[in-house]
Amino acid sequence: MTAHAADGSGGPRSVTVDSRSIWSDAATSFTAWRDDDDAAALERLVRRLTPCLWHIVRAYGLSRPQAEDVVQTTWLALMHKAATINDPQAVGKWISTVARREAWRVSSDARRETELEPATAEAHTGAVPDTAAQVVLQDAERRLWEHVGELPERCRRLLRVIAFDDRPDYASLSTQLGLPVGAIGPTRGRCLAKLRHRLDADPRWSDR
Amino acid sequence: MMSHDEPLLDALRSMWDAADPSPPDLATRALFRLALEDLDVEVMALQAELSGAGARGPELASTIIFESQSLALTIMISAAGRSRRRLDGWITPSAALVVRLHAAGGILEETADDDGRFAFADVAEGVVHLTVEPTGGAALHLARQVATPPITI
Repeated sequence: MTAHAADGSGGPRSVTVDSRSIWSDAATSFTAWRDDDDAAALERLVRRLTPCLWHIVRAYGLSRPQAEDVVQTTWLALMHKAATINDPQAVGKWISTVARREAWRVSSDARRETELEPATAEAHTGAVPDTAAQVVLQDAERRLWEHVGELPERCRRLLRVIAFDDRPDYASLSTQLGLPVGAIGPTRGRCLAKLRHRLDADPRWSDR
Repeated sequence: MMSHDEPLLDALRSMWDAADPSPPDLATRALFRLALEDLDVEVMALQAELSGAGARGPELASTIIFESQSLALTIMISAAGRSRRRLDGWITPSAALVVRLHAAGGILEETADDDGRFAFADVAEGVVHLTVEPTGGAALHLARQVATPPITI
């Protein structure tokens, strides 16, 4: 299975986003900050979730400065509306929903402005590695990047949100991706299948 | 989420994390910004950011202009040795106001001259923000502290 190849090779890079415990830790930190005035807990929350929010927001095709603004706006919204969050266990979902809504708003505005300049829009979709970030991709990462780049934009966006978000609610994704709610699950499956198909057909990938 | 997909999603996470990483100082800057929310301060807006050849050496210097209702603040950042920065700034309208530079290592304070000019000659690189303080006797009366958003110097 392709996924095993993806898992093992190239040596594990230190990943800033650990998706497994991140959202349950978020609930603990949020409660400690809001209800017990633990300032260090807010810092833990922001440091832990910011890389995740970055990826979710960048899925919407924002430029890096736009994405930074959206992440900051999201944290300000949390600070101002903390008292209104009834279910601290769902705070991760609350935060990521605010981030996606704001990212969607900014990307819609930006699209209207750049409609006549498709080249600009393409530059913002993350279709090429960001040279400004001076990244060095390992072989496996570069191949995976190339294959993901060949997927339809809707797939790239959906997969990036799904990879980093905590069970995003399908209702808002539906509006943002222009898909019926019932089509999100199947589309997710089809996008992953398309990616697997490409990886399986790539001898450089399978050989490893 | 089907566990069957997890290894591939893990690979995707690593890939995006490597190819398009979150700026390393983004969380720090967000925390600075949140800390300002608690205080009675007027937060300035970034008005312009210009880069050009520095007058003090081969390294690039950059100029950042912030604006608020009460004043504008222009800051020129240049290199001052290894991992050190020099900040030259001026306040418009010109007034001899107290300016503080808040950095991870502590707070530095300077007072602008009557033309509104001030300088922090030797500052460690990193995330900082500046505040302009209400100052008795200055030509400009501030009702409250005015702060820049955090910047990386």
